[in-house]
Amino acid sequence: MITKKIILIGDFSTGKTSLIRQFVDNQFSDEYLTTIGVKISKKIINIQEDLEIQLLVWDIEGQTDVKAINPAYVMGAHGVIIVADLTRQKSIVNIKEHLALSSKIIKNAPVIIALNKSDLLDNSSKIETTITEIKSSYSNISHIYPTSAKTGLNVELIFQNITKSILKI
Amino acid sequence: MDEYAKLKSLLLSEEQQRIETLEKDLASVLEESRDSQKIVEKISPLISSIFSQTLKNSQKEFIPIFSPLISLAIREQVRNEKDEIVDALYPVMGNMISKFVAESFKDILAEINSKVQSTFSMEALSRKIRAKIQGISEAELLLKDSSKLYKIQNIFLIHKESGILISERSLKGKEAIEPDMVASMLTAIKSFANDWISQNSDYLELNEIEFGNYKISLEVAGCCYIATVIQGESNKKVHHAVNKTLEYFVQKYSSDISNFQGDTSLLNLDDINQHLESILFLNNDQEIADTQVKSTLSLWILFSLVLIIVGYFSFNMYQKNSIEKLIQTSIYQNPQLNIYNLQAEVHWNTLLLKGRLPANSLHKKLLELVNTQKGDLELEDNIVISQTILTQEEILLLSKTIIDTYNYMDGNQILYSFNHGTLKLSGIIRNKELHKKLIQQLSKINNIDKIISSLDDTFTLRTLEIYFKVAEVVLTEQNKLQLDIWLDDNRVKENFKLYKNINLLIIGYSDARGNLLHNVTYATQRADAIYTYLKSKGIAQDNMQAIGAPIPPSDIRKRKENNGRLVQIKWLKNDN
Ligand SMILES: Nc1nc2c(ncn2[C@@H]2O[C@H](COP(=O)(O)OP(=O)(O)OP(=O)(O)O)[C@@H](O)[C@H]2O)c(=O)[nH]1
Ligand SMILES: [Mg+2]
Repeated sequence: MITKKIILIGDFSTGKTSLIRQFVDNQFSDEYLTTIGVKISKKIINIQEDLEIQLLVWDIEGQTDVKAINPAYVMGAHGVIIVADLTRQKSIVNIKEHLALSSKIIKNAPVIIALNKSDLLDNSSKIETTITEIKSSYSNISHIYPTSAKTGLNVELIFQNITKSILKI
Repeated sequence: MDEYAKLKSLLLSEEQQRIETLEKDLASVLEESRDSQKIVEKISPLISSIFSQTLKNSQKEFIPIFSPLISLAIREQVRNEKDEIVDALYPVMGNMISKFVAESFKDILAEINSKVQSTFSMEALSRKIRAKIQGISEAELLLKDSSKLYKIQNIFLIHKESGILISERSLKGKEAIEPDMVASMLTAIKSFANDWISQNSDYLELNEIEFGNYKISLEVAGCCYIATVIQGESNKKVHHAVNKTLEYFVQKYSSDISNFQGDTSLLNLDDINQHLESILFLNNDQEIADTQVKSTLSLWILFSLVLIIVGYFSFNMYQKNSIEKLIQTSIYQNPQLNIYNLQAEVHWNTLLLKGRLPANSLHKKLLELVNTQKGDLELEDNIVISQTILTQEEILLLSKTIIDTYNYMDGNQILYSFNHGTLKLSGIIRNKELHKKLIQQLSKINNIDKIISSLDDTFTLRTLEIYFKVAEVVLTEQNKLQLDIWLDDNRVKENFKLYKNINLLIIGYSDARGNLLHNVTYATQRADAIYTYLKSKGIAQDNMQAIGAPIPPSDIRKRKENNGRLVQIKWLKNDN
């Protein structure tokens, strides 16, 4: 079986751990337990009828003002999901840094941006404007999705899409 | 042509010619000296001999000139292309390192050899002979004997960057659960540790993780690494085998592995697995080595015939030696004696005891122990009985340890000081019994001459109650007097001083008759009245909390006094 390493990076408390938990266990909790170091989960997904891929998902400690992301965790990743919190502008601004870090360390790995906690916004126009803003400032990023680890919105989708992008299908 | 010129040409024609050739030569030399290309051409064949010549004569002067450059260059290269360099050097370095290790092993061996030589015992003799037969040094045999205790359980070959498992081989029945996860986690741990280590030094790597009787050793090359899970002691044989295998992978599959993208079908897994399994086979080699040792046993019996002749003398020695060991072991196993540095030695027919003990009773115990085991050896008892003198710090530390454990208990707040042999205690202790126990424990510490305790063992954090009349929420003069007396009590003052984290909980109650809302208001206002009064008397706001109970608990409602129209002032110890 083919195995791929997917990493989730982003600011602290944007919902990386929650997205993975929703993806792997279909569960969500309101409790916030910050990740220390890195937590690894595994899930086998079906991309096509006859194509199974094993994903090793690295949930990396979120970036805070005092601690940057350890580049060693990023190394060798085949796909990157950058997670931002729609309710926290700073985490959206910082997408830039995370993009710079990942493209510096890994070449040619596809990147998806997840704008998480979309369930907390009741007008979807804010989401739309954020997406167009990001699209215009990072022209090479095509995949931006609003997600919610709480409702499960687009969670399966981002993992499916990142895997497809990795396999170029 | 004048005469002079004629003469010159006659006399100097030869010189003239020479000058001309010289001029030509000079011109061409000058020209060459301006053409750097030519110079290089001319000099290059000479450079190496120039260098070797100069270096030979003045090596010392050149070293300081070149070495900073060289190390700078190497460092730069390593920084930019670390993995490539590691891979390129690995086959050489692996060897170099194992040679280095072998060298240091030789030192250890030499040391063991000298130890072995100095203890002449039956066992040692047999070892000597076995070693001669097998043609290896005795020390090596010793090491061999002692390194039998390992079992390689799992071997993981892991892609270094991504942490993705390339292959895993395990002992039957010891298969790893979720090897893919293990590989990723090991890689994460390695990165975590390396990140942390590299803050202090540049090129260190985590290479062993230990838990219980298991060791995971990590042998790292540029593109991949091998993690070996070993039960028991890892040893040079295992390291050597792992190194060799890694060396092979690097040489043969370096680019395949570097470009590995998680698809193992693109690798020659059969060959890789075969090599990984060869490491597992070391487990069997161990058993083979065992039987080899056994087969030499019969030869050994032959030699033991000779031994009998060497005979009695060494046997005697051996016995004495084993008595010495026996006695030493039983001293080490005795919990009362093993904390002192005691020595038992057998010299000819005497057993010599040396060391220092703090009490006669312990000395007696030691003698009892030794007498049952010494056989017919004579005893030379050189034990000195002396009380160790504790320093001021040691006494304080011991006292602190004891007192701290008491202070952890709720209700104890013990202060202490030590001066000129006198330990002074003050503060509060829960009860008389505990007080007695504390003093007993402290008096066991050597060099405390006197303990003076002014600890209060009758103190309780009693709740104060203030009563109110029907529909009254204002403090009466009587109430105030009661509070004043309470505040004036030394113990209350003491309490605030001792317990830094103490708070007063002021709970107001009502008689619960009639309208609930009114009752809550009464209860709250009563509590507030007391809060305000205590505040005016200098109790810090932060240390008080006033609340009104909406419905008083039944035991309070049933109170004869004022039917529950009261305020309780409770001590609240805030222990976090
Ligand atoms: N409403 C809502 N809350 C979310 C969502 N995702 C995460 N949360 C909450 O946000 C908090 C942080 O989530 P985590 O998943 O722990 O965040 P993280 O990015 O892993 O944080 P670090 O590990 O500290 O970097 C938690 O309290 C989650 O319950 C979401 O989609 N919607
Ligand atoms: Mg987390």
